[in-house]
Amino acid sequence: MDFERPEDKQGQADFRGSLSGYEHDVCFVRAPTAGKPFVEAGYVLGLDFDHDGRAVAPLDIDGDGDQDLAVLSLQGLQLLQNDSPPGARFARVRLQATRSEPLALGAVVRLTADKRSQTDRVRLAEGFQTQTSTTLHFGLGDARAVDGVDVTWPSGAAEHFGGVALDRLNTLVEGRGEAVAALIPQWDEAVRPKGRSTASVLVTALDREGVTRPLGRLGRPTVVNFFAPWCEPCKRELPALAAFAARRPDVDVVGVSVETKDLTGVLAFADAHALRYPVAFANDRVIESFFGPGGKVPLPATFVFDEKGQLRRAFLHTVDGSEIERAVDTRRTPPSVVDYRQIIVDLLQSGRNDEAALLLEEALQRTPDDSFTLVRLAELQLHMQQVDRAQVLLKRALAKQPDNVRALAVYGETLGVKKDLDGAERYLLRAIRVAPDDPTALNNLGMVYARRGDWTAARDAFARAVEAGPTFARARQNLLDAERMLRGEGPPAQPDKLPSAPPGPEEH
Amino acid sequence: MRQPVLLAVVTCCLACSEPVAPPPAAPAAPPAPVVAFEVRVPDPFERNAEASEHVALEDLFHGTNRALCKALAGGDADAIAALLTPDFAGRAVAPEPDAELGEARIRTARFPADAAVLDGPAFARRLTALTSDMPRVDRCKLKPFEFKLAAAHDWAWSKVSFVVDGQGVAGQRLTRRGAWFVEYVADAEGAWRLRKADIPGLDQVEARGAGFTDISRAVGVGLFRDDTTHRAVTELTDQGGLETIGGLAVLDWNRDGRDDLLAWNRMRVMALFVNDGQGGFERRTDVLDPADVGLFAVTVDLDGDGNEELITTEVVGCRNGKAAMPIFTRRGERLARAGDLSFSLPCGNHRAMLYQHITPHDIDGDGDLDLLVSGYGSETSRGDFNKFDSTEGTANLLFVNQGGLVFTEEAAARGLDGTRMTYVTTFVDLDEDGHDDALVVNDFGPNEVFRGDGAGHFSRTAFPPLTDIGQSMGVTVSDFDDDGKLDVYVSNMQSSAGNRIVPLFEGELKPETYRTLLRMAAGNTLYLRRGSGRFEEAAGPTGVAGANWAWGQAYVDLDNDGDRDLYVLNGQTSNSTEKDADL
Repeated sequence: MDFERPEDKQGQADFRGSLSGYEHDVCFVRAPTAGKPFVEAGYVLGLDFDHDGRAVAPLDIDGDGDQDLAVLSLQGLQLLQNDSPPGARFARVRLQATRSEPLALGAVVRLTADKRSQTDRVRLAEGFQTQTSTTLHFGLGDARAVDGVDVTWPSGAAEHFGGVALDRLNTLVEGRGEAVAALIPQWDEAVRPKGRSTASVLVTALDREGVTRPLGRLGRPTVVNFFAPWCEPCKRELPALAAFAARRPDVDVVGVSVETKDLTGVLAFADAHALRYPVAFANDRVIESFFGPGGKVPLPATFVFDEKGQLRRAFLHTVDGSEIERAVDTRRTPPSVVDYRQIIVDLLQSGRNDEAALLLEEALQRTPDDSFTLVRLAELQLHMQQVDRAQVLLKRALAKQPDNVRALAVYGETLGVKKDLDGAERYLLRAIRVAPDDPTALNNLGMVYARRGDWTAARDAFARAVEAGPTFARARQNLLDAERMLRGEGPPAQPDKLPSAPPGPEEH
Repeated sequence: MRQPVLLAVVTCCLACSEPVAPPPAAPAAPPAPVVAFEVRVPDPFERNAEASEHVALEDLFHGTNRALCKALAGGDADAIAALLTPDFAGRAVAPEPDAELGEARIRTARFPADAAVLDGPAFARRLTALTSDMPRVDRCKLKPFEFKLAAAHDWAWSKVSFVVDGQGVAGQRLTRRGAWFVEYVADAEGAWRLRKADIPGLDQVEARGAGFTDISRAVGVGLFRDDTTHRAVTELTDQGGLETIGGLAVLDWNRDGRDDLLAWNRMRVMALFVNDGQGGFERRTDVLDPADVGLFAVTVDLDGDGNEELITTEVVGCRNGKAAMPIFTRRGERLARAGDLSFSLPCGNHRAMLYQHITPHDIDGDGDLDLLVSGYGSETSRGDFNKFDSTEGTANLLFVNQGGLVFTEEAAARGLDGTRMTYVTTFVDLDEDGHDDALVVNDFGPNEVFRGDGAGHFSRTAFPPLTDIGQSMGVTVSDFDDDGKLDVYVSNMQSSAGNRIVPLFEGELKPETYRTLLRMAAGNTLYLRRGSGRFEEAAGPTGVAGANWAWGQAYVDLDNDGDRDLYVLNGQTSNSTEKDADL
């Protein structure tokens, strides 16, 4: 294990330092080498992530016959696309047992292609905290045919199967001796992801009236079409888009001009093409959001978002109305309240506060009394120093739910910001009466006492906050600061910033 | 001039991470003038591990070696030479690699050893050849993998693992790596420089038309990838509060033949990503309340009705010594509680780390799936406990399927009475008697084998080498040497610190303890089946041992060339301090 140097945090309570941190994942690849069957190739394959990796499962997201990877680390979930060139052969094998449990877990499968055999075993949950597909994948390189498959079933029976096809999903039913081959559904080449994108309908741009507003809104599917007056292919697709927009009032369409100098020319162009949907002008944020940092815009480009604001399709070619329509109508499930909350939490966690505020305001229009929305929006307002507005929202939440702990705690925080320490204490104590172990309320109460200079009471409150939320770093720091004050070692560096909520269940 | 095979073997052993002796004096190299050249190991050497480690890590790894790497990455021969003593002598590899092997997507080549003994400036110039064809160097590392400090603290010997990664002139990704044997000396100010170096060959790996791209955002998949959560996770790891996070599952939720993905973590997030077949995934967060899901969950049909159940390691309640894990069943687009897995548990146990894994398997051959739940920590496992041979974990559980989503817990009655700290269990016929045995993979102690009789009864058995000592996290059973027989790959902790420190105590420790400690630092294990129920541990010679602190693994064709490769995740916990720059 490599004990890295915990330079800047050495003094902090309980700080442990990296324990074999930032190690790079490894890939042992079969390659011609002198001596060993495997050679480490993590870097050259682009798989040498330095996260704290835990679970990995192969899958084929696009049906192209190579193995993509889903990876879960302490730092998040990643989907990794296998960029191998197409054309390599493979076979998939799924077993169906008739004389044991049907998945045939543990069955041994030997597939022979061009006289070369590979042996694998049906598994469901190996590796580390991973459930894999029970369909087996055999990469076959440039093999010309599958000679056959030999199965040792859990029942103990050995059986040979013919009729196993290349590049197909082959179902092998115990006792039948002949495989049933099926095509594997694929994603169209055109929609396969080409790289990272953070495209969002909530990114803001100047509209034709000169007002900065988001390109779209959540709750409705949105089509974002990039164009420019000098783009010939754009001219060809615009009639289809205009017709689509007229035909589908349930879908928002917005045109984004990448020509941003000759604004009059762009608007004249839009009118000449009878674009009745909103037109906006691209800016750096829009370009970065859709095409990456320093991204070049390949025109034409059209993006389809679902009601949840998730990008569903990116067309980097001239589109027609039916293509757009299909993309919009594929698998639509209206966003639930849970979805909205998740999106909001995601936005907040990504620091995209503006977008979160927009969405919260919109949600408030629909459900004016939803306490989740009220409190989250109030927190954002407080964060943006809009203390009065935050208090209005919180009062509404408390009118509905007088015992909403988070509302009480945040309201106490607003009073503290306004230097009404007695009021703050009152609300925080109310929050604590409802939830004696709420770390945020306890910590905020400690802050009130600290501002009064009552460091003994402050220390006790912080200590309770730490006890209630052992992972609440801010409370821990406050506790240390209070103890330092009590020892007469002078004030902490930044004593009075009211902390945000701890990481923990309620944040997610 | 090629070096004899012996040197190649020494270099090979870097990857297999087995301790090797320092290289013997190389045979004289005609026709160059004969120079006595030996990289010497100090004797007596410092046996205080702390003092020795300080020099190895602070002075060399973070100091001299890093400076050398930085100079190398910048192609600065003068800066390299400044890190060598005036009387430096070294042997480097040839400036060009041998011809690349094969036309495969992953190509390898080798920089052979060069017997010529070079002075400092010449050695420095030769080193820069290693990066002169890399327009971009992404990483360079010279890590002491074995280390001996002279008792007087004025010189040191180290076997250093060297790696440089970068982009080649054709835009391809290149790795060059191998062992260096180095003598360092400290001057009066305590600055360490290289006095001798011997590089007995380097390996080169290159990818052509293979690789992976992170497309999470582009297709709408992701959990916890934002900065705020990252900070929260780091805060937790800083305090040692986070080691495992949750898991993931590949399934076909909507039965359209496309892979969907379910992921969850213990921060109470669970999301189902449904492959829309149109270039994206639809994220659903309302399939199941994430508060109901523990570290692990598995989705499989347990009652034969064609609908999947989800079972999870979360203990949902404990009263009067009776606890339960919930069973959920598919109801339309949701999972709904449909029963419990009930079992005995001393209530009051710390819940989060109790159970790590669930293995569905038909243990009694009655046609339905039973469930082995791997028990891990207990309330005592965060404090002082036996880290090498712990039997203080939570007992494993075996739920025998009685039909209709009713299960009875019968682990002890059926002989699966492991109480080690188990991460995962798998069932495979190890002794080749036609019945599946249980291989129980444990942290803080040896793995266990329970021989199965095919009727659901098991008996504990010593099964070397599979039951040798280890600190194991994960397991994959497959055929790793293409002989048609199932082998076993286990991820463990590989520790370069261990490889540096343990040899300091050779002779002071009991030989058995010494071997055990080295074994624990050596890395992942591959047990190759040799017939008649015999296995041979061969991770080193196979090239799959060195994966650092390893966890999950996937054995699949990564480069799409028709054979299987092995991806191993690693890293225990990364703290929030600025990470060590690799340059």
